[in-house]
Amino acid sequence: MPVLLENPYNPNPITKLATTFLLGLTVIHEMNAYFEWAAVLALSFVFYKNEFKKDAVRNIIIFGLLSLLPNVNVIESTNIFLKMFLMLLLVLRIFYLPLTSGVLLVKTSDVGSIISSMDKLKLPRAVSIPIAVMFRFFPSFKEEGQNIKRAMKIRGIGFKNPIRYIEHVTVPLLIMSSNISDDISKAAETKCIENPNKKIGTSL
Amino acid sequence: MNNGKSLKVKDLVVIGIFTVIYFAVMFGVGMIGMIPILFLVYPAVLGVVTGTIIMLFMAKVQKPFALFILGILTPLIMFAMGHTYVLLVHGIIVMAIAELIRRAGNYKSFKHNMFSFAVFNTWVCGSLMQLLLVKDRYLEMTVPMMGEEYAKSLERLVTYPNMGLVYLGAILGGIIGACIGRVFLKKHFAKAGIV
Repeated sequence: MPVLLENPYNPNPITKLATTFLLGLTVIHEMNAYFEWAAVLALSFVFYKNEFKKDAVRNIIIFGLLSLLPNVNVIESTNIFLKMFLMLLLVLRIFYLPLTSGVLLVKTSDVGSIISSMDKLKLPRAVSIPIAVMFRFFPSFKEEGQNIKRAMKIRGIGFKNPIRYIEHVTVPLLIMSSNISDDISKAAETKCIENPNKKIGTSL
Repeated sequence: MNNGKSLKVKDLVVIGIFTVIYFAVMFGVGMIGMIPILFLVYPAVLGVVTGTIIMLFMAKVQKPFALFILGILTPLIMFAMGHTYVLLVHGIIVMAIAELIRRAGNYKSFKHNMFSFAVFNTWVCGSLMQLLLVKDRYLEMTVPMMGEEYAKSLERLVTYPNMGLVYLGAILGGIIGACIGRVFLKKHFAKAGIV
């Protein structure tokens, strides 16, 4: 994952978080279509400048397709299956802006800059460290989830018995998460996260 | 505070990781909320499914405020995704009660942890509670999202007596989930040396 800290077009995580929160308000209050497009284009621009060119193009295309959706009254009059499908797309349409902004936040910022910006906001460490860990852990969580699904397929475990199914998913998931949590905490402690000092340059 | 009882970095990392797991599982179970009647059973089902996760978490981190922080992070994410403040306030109250119950058992007793989880589990009822407390605003939010029909059936189902049943269901689901969690803890995690 290319993360360019020196890039002038990569905003501070605080800015990105504020953007996500503000775009979250559009879920409740509808926004003018022109402003929506402006937000989408701005997000695409930041994606593009941070070497995520595919995301930039995909962002514009998906939003373009979603904005072609008919409004609720038209959907109400279609048949039940089409209605369910369109409703799902409509929900995606409403959550699209905050979601994309969240993706931008996750993709273009690394754990270090998230921690330092939360320190700037004077968040207590009891809150800032779990949030930083969440960012670090999410990609490996997705990966491990796929591994577990594959392993279950190989052994032919299906959804026949829900209780057994829950057991077969949660137990390996929890065991691997405990191992990862041990690894992360060891890595963090060797980097002296517990006793932060002012950073001093060591290069000559 | 400093007799090994305060939260260390290791515990905070565990909190972060379990929040991710809890949130992912919650989202998966939440898919059943698309059908209006099942929305009312959701807290109970969630309790049964997530019992193992939270019981393992409580076995791993036996320190003050661990459960409180874990419980606050999830409503915070939901709040950032467009829920009303009621969910957050409700969450803080519920987590405080759960934390007090855990404290009474010195963070170790299974009985106290079980009831603590049962109370913890009721935080999801906050999303239905906000329907009662800020009915107009929530309906206004739901109509464009889920359609008129969904909002109407939701409005008919959510009344104060029904809410009591939902809370009862959440507590029962939590107790069942905690018992399942205990069985799993003995069967798998103690053997693997995780707890």
